[in-house]
Amino acid sequence: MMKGKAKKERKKSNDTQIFDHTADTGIKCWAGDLESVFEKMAKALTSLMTDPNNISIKKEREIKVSASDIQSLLVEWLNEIIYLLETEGFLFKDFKIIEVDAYKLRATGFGEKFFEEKHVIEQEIKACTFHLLELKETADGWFGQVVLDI
Amino acid sequence: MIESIEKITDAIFRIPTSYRKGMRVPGIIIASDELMDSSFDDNAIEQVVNVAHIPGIVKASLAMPDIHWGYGFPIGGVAATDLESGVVSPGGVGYDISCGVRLLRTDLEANEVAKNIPELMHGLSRNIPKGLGRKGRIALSPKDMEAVLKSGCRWAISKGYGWQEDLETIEQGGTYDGADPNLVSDQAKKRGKDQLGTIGSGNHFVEIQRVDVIYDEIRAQIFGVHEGQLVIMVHSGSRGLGHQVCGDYIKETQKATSRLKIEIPDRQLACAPLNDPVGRDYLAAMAAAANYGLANRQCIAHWVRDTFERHFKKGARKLGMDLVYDVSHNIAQIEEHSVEGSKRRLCVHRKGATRAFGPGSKAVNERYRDVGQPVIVPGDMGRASYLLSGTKEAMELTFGSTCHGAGRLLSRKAAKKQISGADLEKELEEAGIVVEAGSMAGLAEEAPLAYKDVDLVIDACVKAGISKKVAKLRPLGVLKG
Repeated sequence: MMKGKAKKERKKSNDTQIFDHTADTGIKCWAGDLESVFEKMAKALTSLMTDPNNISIKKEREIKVSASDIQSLLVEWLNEIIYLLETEGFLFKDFKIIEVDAYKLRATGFGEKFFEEKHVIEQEIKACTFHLLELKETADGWFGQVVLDI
Repeated sequence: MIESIEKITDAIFRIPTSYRKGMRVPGIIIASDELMDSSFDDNAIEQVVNVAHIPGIVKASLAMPDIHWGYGFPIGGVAATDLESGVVSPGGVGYDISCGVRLLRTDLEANEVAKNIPELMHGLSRNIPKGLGRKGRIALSPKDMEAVLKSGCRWAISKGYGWQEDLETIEQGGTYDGADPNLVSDQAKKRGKDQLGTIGSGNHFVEIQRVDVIYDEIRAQIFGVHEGQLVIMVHSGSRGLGHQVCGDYIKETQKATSRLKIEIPDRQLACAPLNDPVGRDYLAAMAAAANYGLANRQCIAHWVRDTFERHFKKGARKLGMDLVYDVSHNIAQIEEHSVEGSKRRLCVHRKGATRAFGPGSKAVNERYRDVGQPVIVPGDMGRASYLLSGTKEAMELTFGSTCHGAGRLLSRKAAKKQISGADLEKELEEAGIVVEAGSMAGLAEEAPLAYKDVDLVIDACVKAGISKKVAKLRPLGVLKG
C-alpha cells in the first residue's frame, strides 16, 4: 500500500496539467524543485499558444524578471514570455532557469522568431493573472498554479 | 450560500449585509428564477459578496444576469465608489480595458444580398487582421501612439479611418477624457504598436447580421434600424496594450493596498483611493487604454466599410453604412448619480456590463438623448444579439447599467469536449451562417452551447426595467480570430 502511495506521489511530483476556468485557462504544475516549476509552467504556456513541435531552437535569449514576492515572480515570468512573443515575435521551445530566489529570476529561453508560414498561434494568451495563484513547497518539491487570461 | 439570497421581485435578488461581516452594502443580482437555479455558480456570487467590502462602495455590489466567475470582481459586475472616500480597482474594469461593441447599419436588405454573404465574409477576413502572432496593418510611431492614447477615435478619423460624424454616435464622443499617455508604460506601448486595427481571439469577432425582430418602432427608427436590414457588429478591445496597463496597475494598486492597509477579502480586489496618486494615475492610464480600444474598433469598422465598398462597387455612404453606436463594457467612468435624493459624483466600475443611461441623460449623445442610450449586446454566434436602450429605472437601480452578453456557462475545455470546431462550423453553415475562423479550437470554445441563453439574460434585464428591447439580430456570417 505504501509503495502504491509513493508511486502516485512520484507521478505527481513531476506533472503539468491544464485546467478549466470558465472563460479562461489555467496551468497546474508539480515538480521536484523550484527551477523546474518555472521551466515547466513556461513550456505549458507556449504549448497553449502554439504547437511546440513546430518551434526549432535557433536562438537563445536572456530573460530577467523581478517581483515583490515569489508568487508574483511566477506571474511576472509568464507575463514576460507573453510580452516577448508580442513585441519581439520570439517563440520559446525550452527554458533554463539560471538563478531564482524570492524576488528575481534569470533564465535563458531557446527558440526562434515567429514565422507566419511555419507557426500558427492557436490561442492568444493575453496575460497571466493573480487569480487562484499558488506557488508553494510540498513534500516532494514544489507546486504552482496560475490562471491565464485569454 | 444560495439560501441567503432574498427574492425582491422576479428579476431582483438581494444578498443582505448580514450574510457576512465586512459587507458595507448588500449584493443586488439582476436575474430570474431560471438563471439563479440553473446557471449561476457560487464562485461568482461569492465575488459579488467580496466586492461589497471595498471602501467607499455606494448602495450595492451589483451583478447583471450574465454574471460569471472573474478575477476578484465577477464578470457582469457593477460597483460605484464615492470620489472622496472610495477606491478604484483595476480588477473592477478587467484586463481588456474598453472591450466593447460597435454596430454599423446599412441600407441593404439581408434577404436580397444573401448570396453575397460568403464573398463579403471572405473579403472581411482578408481585409481585417486578426492579429494572432502577426502584425496588423497599422504601425504606430511614438507620436501616433501618444495621439491614439490621448484622443482615441479623433486620431483615427484624422488619419482617414472613418467619418467625422461617427463621433456623434460613440460613447463619450469617441474620446475618454482625462487620458494621460505618459502614465501608460513603455511595455504597454510596445505591445500596442503593431496591434491597432486587429480583432484578437477568444470571443472577439466581426459579424454580418440580419435585423430579425423590431420590438420598439420609435427607437428603432431613431437608431436607424428596421426589420430585414443587414447590419454589421464588431466586438473587440484594447488588445495587448490594455492588458499590459491592467497588469501594470494591479501591481501598483497591490502596493497601495498594502501601504494604506486597506482590508480586502481577495488580493485581486487590490485598489487605491480615488484621491491617492495611484488611484488617479490608474484612471488616467485606463482612459488612455480605453481610447486605444475605441480607435481599434474605429479602424476595424473602416475596413468593414472598405470591404463592402469593394464588393458592391459603391461608396459606404451610398450604402448607408452609418454608425449606430459604439459602447464599452469594461470601463470605469466618473459619473453623476442620484443616491437617496442627493446628486453624487461616483466612480462607476463596469466589468462585463454596459452603460445604459436613460432618456434625458445629459451624458447620452444628443441624437439619442430623448430615447435613451443604445446598448449593444452580443449573444453567441449561433443565436442572437440584441440592440437595447437604456432606461430611467436603470439610473435608479443599477447606476445606469445593464448586461453585456450571454455570459459563459461552460469552460473552454468543456465546450471543446462537447463539440469540435469542424462539427460546429458545419452546424453553423447548415443554419445558414458563414464562418471564417482562424482557429478551429478557438471556434469550438465559442460554441453557442458554452453560453447562457442570451434571451433569458435580456428578459431578466427587461423585467427588472433596466433596458428596453429595440431589436433582435441574427448572425449570417461570423469572422473570428
